[in-house]
Amino acid sequence: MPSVSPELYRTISWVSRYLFAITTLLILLRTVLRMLSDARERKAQLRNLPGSGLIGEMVVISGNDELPEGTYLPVPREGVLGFVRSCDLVVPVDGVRRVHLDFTWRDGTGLLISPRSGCTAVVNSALLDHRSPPDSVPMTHGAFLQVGSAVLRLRVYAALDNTGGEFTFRDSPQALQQASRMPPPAQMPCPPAYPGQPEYTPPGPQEYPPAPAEYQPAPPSQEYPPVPTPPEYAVPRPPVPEGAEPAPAPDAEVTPPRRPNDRWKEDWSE
Amino acid sequence: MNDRKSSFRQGPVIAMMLFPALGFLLLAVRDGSTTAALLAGALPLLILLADTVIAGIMGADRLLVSMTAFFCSLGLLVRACTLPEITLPALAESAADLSGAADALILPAVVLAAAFGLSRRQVLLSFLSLGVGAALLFLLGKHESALLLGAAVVLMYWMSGAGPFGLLAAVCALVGMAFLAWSLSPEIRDAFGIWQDPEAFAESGAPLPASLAAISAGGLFGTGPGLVSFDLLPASSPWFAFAALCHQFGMIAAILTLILFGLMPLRGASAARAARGSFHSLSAAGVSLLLGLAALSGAAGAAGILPSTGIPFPFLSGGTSLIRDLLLSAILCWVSGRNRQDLKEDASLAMLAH
Repeated sequence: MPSVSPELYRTISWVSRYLFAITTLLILLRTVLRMLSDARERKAQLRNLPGSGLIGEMVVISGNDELPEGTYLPVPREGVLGFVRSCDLVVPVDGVRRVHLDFTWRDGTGLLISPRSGCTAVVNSALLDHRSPPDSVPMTHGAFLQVGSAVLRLRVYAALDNTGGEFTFRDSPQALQQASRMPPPAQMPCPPAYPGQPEYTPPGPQEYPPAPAEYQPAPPSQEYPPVPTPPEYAVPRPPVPEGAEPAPAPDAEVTPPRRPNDRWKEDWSE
Repeated sequence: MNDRKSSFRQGPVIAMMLFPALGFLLLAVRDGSTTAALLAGALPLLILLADTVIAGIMGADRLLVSMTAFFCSLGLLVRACTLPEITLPALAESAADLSGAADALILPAVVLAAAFGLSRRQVLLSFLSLGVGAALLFLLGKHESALLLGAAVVLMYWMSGAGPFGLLAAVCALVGMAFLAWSLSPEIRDAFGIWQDPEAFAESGAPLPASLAAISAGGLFGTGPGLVSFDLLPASSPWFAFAALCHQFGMIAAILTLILFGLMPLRGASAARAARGSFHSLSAAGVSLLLGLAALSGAAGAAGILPSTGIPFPFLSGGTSLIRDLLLSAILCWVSGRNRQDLKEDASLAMLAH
């Protein structure tokens, strides 16, 4: 291999040091551009897969004002359920702690529930606490989960459904009523999760003393004033030509109320 | 196929191949070394193979794999530039001075064990693994590596959602470990003394003053590859590689390399965020923390910004610590490959559902 004189090499090396700086800058710029391009590509992929990383939804059967009935809570493969907003499943009801339980999806088995220390949960009438094995009562498609005063029902995505059961849940008051007519979880027969599991007795109906007479509710026949139509939504009527009968007023359309976390019912009418 | 070709042309791989090719070509021209000429062809080919074949076979992140190959080549080039004669035995001998074999396997193993324990909410298991790993490192005299590992595991614990009391206890344990290292290791105490007044130790042969002299002698653009004053650079020091890089290629190239290296933990952090399971997420986070903290301590120690910890700069230093760095990089590639697979699975499930 031929070599050069030290003086010539010194000159070549002196010139080449700028080349190395430029090459390093080029590497850095291209790497940053590549990382940005990968981030954009991933965003686009995730936009086309809205359910990416999710195994299904928890539908609220019984909740409260903050978590009304019919709310959809997307369920990731792994996460925590609790009261605080940093949890994967936020259930702000009485009886639920800040971080109440952990859940994990296991392919072929279902959603495994692991309550934290001092917390309990009921899965299909099986009481679970922090000592219960997580895979003792896996939640499958249509299973009920009771945490605190909330009752949730699991809907697993179709491609992951391995129970063979049919579960349809549409966003209508009639369907809600139909779904709520399902026997309460406490009455659904289920084998004990582990030997020696304490028997769960649901709380009986509460008997309240009769209210004083001055606090009796108003009779149902009381008439309420009609809700006025907002002027901005009033459809202007076309001018009626002379001699023609005016057209009947169109019926006001009742739009279903939007629910929080409602991902699957987009209102395309707007 | 067209997307792959266009991403190759637009990606950094061509520039990554150019750097070691140019460097070793210059060295080959300097002494007429056949070894340098062969390396001028082999190393760019290795980077190309890493980007195309190896990443394809492993299903790993191409950018991470190519960056790993580039930094390994850069480390080899930096070492070769300081040798009077470039031969393979001389290159191997210059890399064998670093005694990084102790933490080569311990650090990745503890990170994985801690991630497993934290993902299963078995905090005791994760800190037990840290305790065992730190004890082994203390016994082997690797106090700095033990502290690095402790810091990484405490940060992983914080990321896993630790409560305030648990976190406070973990930080107190880390401070206790640091105090123990200070008591047991005279090298750490000496390093603090040298850092506070490097000029007082200039004649004693301490590595930090020599490193600072090498960096300042290089200036902005360096002396040029192969033009080095051998008296300035202590080859046995763990931060020798970074000082040699600054001396020969200049501060600008060194800072750009440092920023480029900082993109690796950033990429690892992205992989951790995108991971589905907490075990994968915490593993990627732990590895990113280790690489980032090691690079920070190596560079800052060589430049005198922080007390020199003796932790070799990842990938550049070569030697047996390269095993540790390659294992950590492999874990990152595994997590990123897993993320890619999960996304493909979601896409196929979405098609099945419709």
